[in-house]
Amino acid sequence: MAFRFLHTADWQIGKPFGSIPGDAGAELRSQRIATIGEVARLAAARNVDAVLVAGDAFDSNEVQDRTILRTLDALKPFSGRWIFLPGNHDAALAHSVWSRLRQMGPEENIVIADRPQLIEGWDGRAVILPAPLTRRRESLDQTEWFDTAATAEGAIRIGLAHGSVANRLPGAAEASNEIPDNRATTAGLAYLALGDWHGSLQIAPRTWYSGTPETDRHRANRSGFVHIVELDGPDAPERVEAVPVSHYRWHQVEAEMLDGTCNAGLDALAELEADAARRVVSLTLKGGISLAERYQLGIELEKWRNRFHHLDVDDAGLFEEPTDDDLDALDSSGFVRLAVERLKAQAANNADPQAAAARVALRMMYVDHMNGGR
Amino acid sequence: MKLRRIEVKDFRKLGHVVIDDLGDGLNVIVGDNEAGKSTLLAALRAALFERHRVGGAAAAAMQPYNQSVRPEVALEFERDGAIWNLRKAFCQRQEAQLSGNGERYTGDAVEDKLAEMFGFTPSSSGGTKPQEHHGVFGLLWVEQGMSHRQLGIGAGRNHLASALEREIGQVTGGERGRALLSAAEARRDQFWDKRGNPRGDFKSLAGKIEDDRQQLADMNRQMAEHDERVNRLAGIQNILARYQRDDTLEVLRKRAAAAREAFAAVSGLEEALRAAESSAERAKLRHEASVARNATRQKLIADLAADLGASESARLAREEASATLARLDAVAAQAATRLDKMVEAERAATARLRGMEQALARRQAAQAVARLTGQLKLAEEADEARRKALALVQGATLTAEDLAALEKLERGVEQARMRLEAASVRITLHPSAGQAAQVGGKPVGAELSLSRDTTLVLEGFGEIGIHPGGGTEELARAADQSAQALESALRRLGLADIAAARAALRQQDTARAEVKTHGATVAALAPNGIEALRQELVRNALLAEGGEAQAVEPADIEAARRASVEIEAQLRGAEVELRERRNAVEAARRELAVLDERVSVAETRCARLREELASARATADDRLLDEEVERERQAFQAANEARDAARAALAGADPEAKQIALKQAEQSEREIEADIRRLDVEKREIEAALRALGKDGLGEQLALLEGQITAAEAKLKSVALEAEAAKLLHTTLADAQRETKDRWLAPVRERSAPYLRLIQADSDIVLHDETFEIEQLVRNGVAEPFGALSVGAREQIAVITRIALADILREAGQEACIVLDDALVNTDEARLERMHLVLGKAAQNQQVLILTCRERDFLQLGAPIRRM
Repeated sequence: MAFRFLHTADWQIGKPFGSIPGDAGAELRSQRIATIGEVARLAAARNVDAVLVAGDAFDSNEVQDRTILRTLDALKPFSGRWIFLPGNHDAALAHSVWSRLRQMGPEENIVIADRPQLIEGWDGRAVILPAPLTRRRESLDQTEWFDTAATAEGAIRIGLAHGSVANRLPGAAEASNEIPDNRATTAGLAYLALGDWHGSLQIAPRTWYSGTPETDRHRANRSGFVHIVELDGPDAPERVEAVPVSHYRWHQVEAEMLDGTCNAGLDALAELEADAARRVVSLTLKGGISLAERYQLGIELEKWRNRFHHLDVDDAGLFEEPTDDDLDALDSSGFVRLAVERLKAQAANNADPQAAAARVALRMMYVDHMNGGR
Repeated sequence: MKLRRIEVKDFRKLGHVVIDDLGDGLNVIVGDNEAGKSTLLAALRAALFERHRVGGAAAAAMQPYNQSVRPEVALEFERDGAIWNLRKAFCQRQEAQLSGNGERYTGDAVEDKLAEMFGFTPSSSGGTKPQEHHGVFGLLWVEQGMSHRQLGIGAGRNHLASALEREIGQVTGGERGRALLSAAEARRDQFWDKRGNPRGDFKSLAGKIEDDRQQLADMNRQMAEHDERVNRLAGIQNILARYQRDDTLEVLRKRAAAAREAFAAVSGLEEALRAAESSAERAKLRHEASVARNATRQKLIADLAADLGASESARLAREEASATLARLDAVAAQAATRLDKMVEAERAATARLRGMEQALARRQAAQAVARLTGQLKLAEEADEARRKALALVQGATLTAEDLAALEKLERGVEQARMRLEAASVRITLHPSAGQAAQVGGKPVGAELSLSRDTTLVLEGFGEIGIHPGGGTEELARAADQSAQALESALRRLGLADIAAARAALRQQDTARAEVKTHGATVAALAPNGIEALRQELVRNALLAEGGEAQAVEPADIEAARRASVEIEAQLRGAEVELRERRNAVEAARRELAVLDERVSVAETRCARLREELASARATADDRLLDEEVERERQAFQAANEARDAARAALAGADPEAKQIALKQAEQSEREIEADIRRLDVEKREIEAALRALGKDGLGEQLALLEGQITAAEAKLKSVALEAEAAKLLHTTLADAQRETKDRWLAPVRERSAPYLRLIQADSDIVLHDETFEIEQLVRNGVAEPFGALSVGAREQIAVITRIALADILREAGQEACIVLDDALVNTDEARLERMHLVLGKAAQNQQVLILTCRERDFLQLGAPIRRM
C-alpha cells in the first residue's frame, strides 16, 4: 500500500531575471521551463504516483499565455497526476494563472488544488489535503482544516501547503501564510509537502520543503533539488531522496585582497572553473591593489565574464593604491606626474566627494598608459 | 660666441670680402641688392656647419655661377674669452683648420670640435639644413625673407630646453604625456559634449532609465488596475455565489406573490369604507337641513315677541317726553317775565346815574370858569409887559461892540493925554503974595503943565516964554486927534458921552431879561397859548350855564354806579337762564319727534312679522318641524355608526403594511434581478479584460522591467562614476600640463617682456611648450594666433623672441651672435624706430649683426656701418 510521489515547489516560472542583461538573462528564464521538463522525466523514470507542486509554480498570476502553454508542454513526459497548489506568487484569486490555465483546457492529469478539499484516487492508498492560498497573504492558517478532515481508513494522509513554518524559518519573516510546526502531527499526516523556502529542508517532523528545482538566486541554501518521497503506510516514516535537477549553479564569492595583488579574487574564481558555463557568479572584491594589479584584474575578469554564464562583480570595496612603480610606469616627471600625484591625493582623501572618481581616473590613466595612450 | 672677422673668397658671387673689427654690440653691414650680403650669411653657415669635404649640390652651391674655383671662408671669433680662428676651403683642395685657446685642429677634427663647441649635429652626408643641423644658429641667424615666419627652432630646441630646464628644473610630460592627455580627452568626449552635458551611451542610458521608469509607472498603474479588477471580480463572484446558494431570486418572487394576494384582500374593505363614509355624509346634511328649518321658525317667533316689547316701550317713552316738554315750556315763560322786569330796572338805574354825572360836570365847569378868568387876566398882563420890553429891545441900536469901540477910543485919548502930560513942562508957581501969573491973558493956578510954547506972564515980573522940547508938539496933536475920534464916534451913536453909552446898554439888557421873564409867565399860565386859554374859558362857561345846579356828591355817583352794575349783572343772569330754559325746551321737542318715529317703526315691524309667522304656520306648524328634526338626527347617528364600523374593519386589516410589504417585495425582486444581470455583465467584461491583459504577461513584463531598471541604475551609477572620472582625469591632466607649461615658458615671457614693452605695451608672447614656436601674441588680454598677425608684426615679434631666446641661451653659457638679414623690411617707419630701440637694448648684452641693403634705415642706430 505504499505511495511514492515527487515533491517540488517554487518553480517560479516566468521569473524575468531583468537585472541580468542580454542572453544570459533570457537563458535563465527559459531554463526554468526546461528544468520542469527534467522533473517530468524524472517523475516518469521513477514511476511516481503523483507530482505534488507545493505552490509558486508560476512567478506571478500575470505571466504570458505563452509561458503557461510552454509549461504545460514541459509537463507532458509524466502522464500521472500533477497536483498544483496555488502559492503566494500565484494565489488562486478571482482571476489567476489557474483560472487562465483552466480556460486553456489542460490535460486531465493536471489537478489544480485551489480549494481546501480532499484529493483522492490512487485506489484509496493516499489522500492529498491541500491548503491553497486564495490571497497573496493569508493571515489565518489555511491548514487548520487538515486536523478535522476525515479520510478513509488506511489512506495515507499527505498535506500540501505553502508558507513559512512558525518559529522555524526566521529568514521568512512574513507573518502571513504561517503554518504551525506541529501540523503534520495534529493532522495525522504522513508527510507535509511545503513550498516557499527555496532550499531542500526538513523543517519539522514529517514536514519538508523541497526547495526550487532550478536555483534562482545567490543564497547558500541547498536549492536545485526535488524530493522523491516514499511512504509505506499512514504511519510509516517517510523516505525522502533529494535529487539534484538544477541546470545552473549560483555562487556568491567574496575575496579580500590583502597582499596587494589580485590573486585572492582570481583564485576564488579559478575554483569555479569546472562547468563554468553553468555558473552564475557574484563576486565581491575588497581590499587595495596597485594600478598594475588592477589592470591585470580587469583583463582576467573580462575572461571570466565570458566563461561563466554570468559574472557580476561588485568592486565598490576595492581600492586602487598606486605604488611608486605604477607612477613611474606612468611618468616619472612632467605634468603627468603632477596629475597622478593630485589624483592620488584625491583618491586617498575619503572626505573628497571626488575620491571615487579619482580612483577610477587613476585606473583609466593606467589603462590608457598600458594601451599606449590610445 | 662673438664674430670678430669674416673673410670670404670665391664664394658664390663674392670674390673677396673682408669684414673685420666686428664689435660686441650692434654691427651693421650694408650691401646693395646683389652685393652678396645674403651670400655672406651663407658663407658664415658653410664655415661653421658644412663639412669642408662636402660635395654634391651643397658644394656646387658654393661655386660662383659657371665657374669651378676653391671657395674659402675664414672666421675669427671669440668664445669664453678665447679667440678662435676657423678656416675652411671647399670643392678643391678642401681644407679645414681651427685654432684657439691653445688648441689646434685640422681636417675632420675641426668639424667635430665645432659640433662639440656649439652643440649642433653635423650632417652625416650632403649639405646641412639650418633647422636640423645648425643648432641654435638655425634659430638666431635669420635669412632674408624668413624673418616673419615661425622661428624654425628645430635643432635649437634641445639647447633651449636644457637652458630652460636649468632655470626651472622640470621638463614637460613629453610625447607620452601628450598621448595620455589626448587619450583622456578622447575618453572624456565619449561621455561629455562640448557644453559639458552627457552624450552618447552615457546620455542615452540615463534617458533609457527615465523612459523605463515611465514605462514602469505605467505598468504599475496597469497592474494596480488589474489587481483592482481581480478584486472586483472576486467580489462579484462572491455575491453571485451567495445569490445562487441562497436561491435569493426565487425566494423573493414567492414573497412578492404572497404580498400581492394580501394586498388584494384589503382593497374590498377600503371600498366598503368609502360607501359608508359617503352615506354618513348625506345623513349629516339632511339632519342639518331639518335643524336649520326649525331654527328659522323659532327665530321668527322670538323676533315678533321682541318687536312687540320694543313697540310698547317706545310708546311709553314718547308719552313721558311729551310731559317733560310741557313742563319745560312753563318754566321758560316764567324766566322771560323775569327778564322783562330786569330790563326795566336796568334802564332806570342808568338814567339816574347819567343825571348825577351831568350835574357834577356843570359844577366843575363853573369852578373852572372862575379859575380860568383870573388866569387869563394875569397872562394878558404879562404878555403886554413882554411886548413892551420886546419893543425896547428891538428899538435899541447900540451894541456891546459899539461900546467896546468907544471904550477903546477913550483909552486912546487917555493914553495920548498921559504921554503929553509926561512930556509937558511942569511948572509950580509960588507967587509972592498977591501976585498972579497969566497966560494968554488968563490967570493960572499954582501948577502949570505946558506942552506947547507958552508965554507966561508973571505979575511983577513980566513974561516968561516957555518952550517945551522933545516932540510935545506931536504928542499934543495926537491927543487932539484921539479926542476928536471919540467925539465923532459919540456923535455918530447919538450919545453925549461914553457914560451915556454904558447906561443905554444896561437898559437894553434889562429889557431883554424882562421879555424872557414875562414870556415864561405867559407860558405857565397858558401853556397852549392865550387864545386857547380863552377858548377853554368860553367852553366852560357854556357848560356851566346848561341845567340847574344840583347838589351831587361823587359818593352818590359811585353808589348809583354800583347799583347800576349790579342790576346789569342780574339782567345778564336772567338772559342766560332764559336761553338755557329755551334750549331745554327745544331738546325735549326733538326727542319727542324721535320717539314718535320709533313708535311708528316698531308698530310697522310687528305687523310684518305677525303676517310672516302666520303664513309659515299655515304651511307647517311648529310641532311638525320638531318631529322632522328628531327623525333626521336618528338617521345621521345610524350612518355614523356604520362608517365607524367600516373604518375599524379596514384598520384591523393594516392596509399600509400590506402595501409597503408588496412594494418592497416587488422592488426587491426587481433589484436583485437587475443586480444579477449587471454583475453577470460586469463579470464577463472583467474576465475578458483580464484575459487580454494576462495574454501579454503584464506581471512578467513588470518584473522584467524592474530588474532591468535596477541593473540599468547600477550601470548608470558605474558609468556616471566613469564619466566623472574621465572628466576629472582630463581636467587634472590638462590643468597639470597648463601649470607646468606656464612654469616652463615663464623665462621666455620674462625675457621677451622688456623688449615687447618697447613696441607694444601690455602684451605677451606665448610659445608652444614643446616646439617653442610662437603660438600666440596676447595683446591687452586678447590672444591672436601668430599666423593671423600682419607680416610686419610677425617679423617684429619673431625678432624679439629670437633675442629673448638668445638671452636665455647666453645666460645658460651658450652665447651666440644674432644675425638678421634684412629682417625688418616689412616694418613701418614708426615701428622701425621702436625696433631700433629693441636692437639697441639687445646689443647691450649680445652681438648683433645686421645685414641690410637699406643703409639709411640704420644710420640712426649709432652702430659702426661697414659696406661690402
